[in-house]
Amino acid sequence: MLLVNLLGELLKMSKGTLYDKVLETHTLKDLGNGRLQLFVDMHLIHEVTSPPAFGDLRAEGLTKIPFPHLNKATMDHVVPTIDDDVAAAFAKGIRMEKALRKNCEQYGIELFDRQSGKQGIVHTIGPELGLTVPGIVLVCGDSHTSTHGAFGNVSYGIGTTQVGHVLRSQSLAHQRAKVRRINIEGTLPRGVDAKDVALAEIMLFGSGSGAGFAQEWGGSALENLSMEERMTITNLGAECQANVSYFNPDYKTINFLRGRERVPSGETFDKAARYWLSFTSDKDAIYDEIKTIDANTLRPVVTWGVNPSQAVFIDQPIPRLESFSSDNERKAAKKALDYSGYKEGEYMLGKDVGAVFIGSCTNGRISDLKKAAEVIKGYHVADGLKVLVVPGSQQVKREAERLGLDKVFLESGAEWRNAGCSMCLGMNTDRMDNFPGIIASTSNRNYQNRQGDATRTALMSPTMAAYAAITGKIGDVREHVYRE
Amino acid sequence: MSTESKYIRKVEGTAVPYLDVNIDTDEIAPTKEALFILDWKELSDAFCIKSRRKDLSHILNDPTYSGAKILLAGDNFGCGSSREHAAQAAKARYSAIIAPSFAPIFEANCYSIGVVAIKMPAEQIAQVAEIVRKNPQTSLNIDLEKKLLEYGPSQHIPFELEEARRQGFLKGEWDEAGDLEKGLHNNLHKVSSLPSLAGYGFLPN
Repeated sequence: MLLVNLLGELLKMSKGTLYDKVLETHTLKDLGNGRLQLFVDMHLIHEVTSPPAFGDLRAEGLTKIPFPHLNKATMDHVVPTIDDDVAAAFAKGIRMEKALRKNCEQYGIELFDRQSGKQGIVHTIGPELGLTVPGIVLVCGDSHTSTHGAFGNVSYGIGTTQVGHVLRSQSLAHQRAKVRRINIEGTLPRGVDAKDVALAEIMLFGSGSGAGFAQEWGGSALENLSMEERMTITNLGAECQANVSYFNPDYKTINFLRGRERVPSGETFDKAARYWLSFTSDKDAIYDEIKTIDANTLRPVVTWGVNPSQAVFIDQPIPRLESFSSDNERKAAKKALDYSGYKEGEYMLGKDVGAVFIGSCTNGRISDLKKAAEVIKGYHVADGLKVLVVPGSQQVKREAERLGLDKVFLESGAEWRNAGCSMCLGMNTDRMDNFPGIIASTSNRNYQNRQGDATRTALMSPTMAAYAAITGKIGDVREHVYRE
Repeated sequence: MSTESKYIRKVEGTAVPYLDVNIDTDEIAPTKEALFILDWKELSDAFCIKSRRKDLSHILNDPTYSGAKILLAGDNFGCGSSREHAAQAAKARYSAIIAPSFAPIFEANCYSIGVVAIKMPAEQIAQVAEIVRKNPQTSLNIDLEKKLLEYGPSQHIPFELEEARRQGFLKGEWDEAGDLEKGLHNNLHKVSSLPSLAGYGFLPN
């Protein structure tokens, strides 16, 4: 057994990758057996996964934490997206916000609440404020922490007990992963979005394919992606168990960060920029695995099942059960179809939708809203359709309103809301229990009962969701006729 | 906290088989029922609560298996969210979970809180499940020192567990908080030139 473990360690071959460089510069202690104690540069906190961690600290009589300024908090999961708090009906959400506020006050942690004007989904505000930078270790009690990896760092989701570890020791135990390089080569066809790239990867490689790997993205097809599009891709890392998912930093990263609130300026910025860029994987870096996807084969993706890998390209039918090569996949597919009522061989294309959600840490940024608005402009949402547009942060909301996007959405009959996680996971009053129709969603998870009891979620890109909003059906956005 | 009192050398008890694949964290700890908690005590009955309420004939409701300390599970158990609430909900019922595979975050969360999550091939779990179904009083013993699951006189199957974690359970070091604090204190100088500490990565407060 020992030999197998040793071989396993030896087989972790990566060298000179960004992941290796971050680990090298952040290791406080080698804990043995592939575990390292890593210093955490930035710990982001939200109201749902933190209360018991602070409780642990208090239970042990700890009244201080060593690095308060390297911990930042916001409220996103339970916040209402409407101005009327419906407080009485939502007491259990309010008490979580109160707990976070009290915890932050007690331990001297900066809290970006709704009064600050900087509140939003934790993975949206980090980059906005310049808290997310290359070369750091960034953790948060939330799976989609991988989003921050778009900037070239080691960012990943942790459990509440580990949240406590980071608070009290600004560090945590990290199990060293292998590094897989994913190359998307060629040119992304028109109508194929970064979201489709991310969903396609999970669909093609499987929901467990990233387990034990840190995932590095690159390739010719991704060269023109914006930082926000990179974030959409790394956001979904967790959905194939690649908790660390990143792009190498480059001039786009530096340009995005320049001028951000919490980033230095002038000569200090230049110094930081040089330091950040030094983390880029070496040209001759060694990876444990390299996988390539031909961009030219990609089309818009839509999920049909109850985990993100259960998806098809829009022109494909739901696979027949007998076509699954693995017993587990077949069983999982059957369970999904029993839940949704869809049939094997049916097309998602053409199915009616009952509601549309545009938002989440995956696709709630200004560029996502712009894309959706461009599709919707000049059209009205389908009769009777509930369409919720939720900007990812207060800053995104202000920018969207400055650009008049809110008017486009409102004029089309969609609802324009305040920032928060909202319908991604239904922890606030946007939850849609027992909603009978399909919910077209730009979020990241389609689990059973996710958006409300018995809800059926179809994940897709912002343009696909916007197209569904105006047609009332799941369609192929490549056929859409844009209006001025 | 004395590490001696935290060591886990074995887990002994009866078992319940819930072998569906891809049981995700939203099922194990459903949002409405399990995520609004401020304290883990509030999770004492949360494990798969929605599934249990929806289907009264669910095996997790079966009184024959009440008191089971060990959960026999299917592939990719705990897939989904990083929410520790799922591992905590499991901990309220079980001391150990045996599955062919776990989602890495769920597995890490189990380790952090002292739930013994071990792996065995699905066929072998099915074998054990058969024995348990025939006689739900069968006592299983997960021996972390020998790295064996014992289910009868001289009947045992080896299991898989990351060596780091196995050692952590045996030495009582799975509760890492104290060690991490010491590790920071003794080694901070190694990272003191990082921008976040040297004052130019983020603007200081």
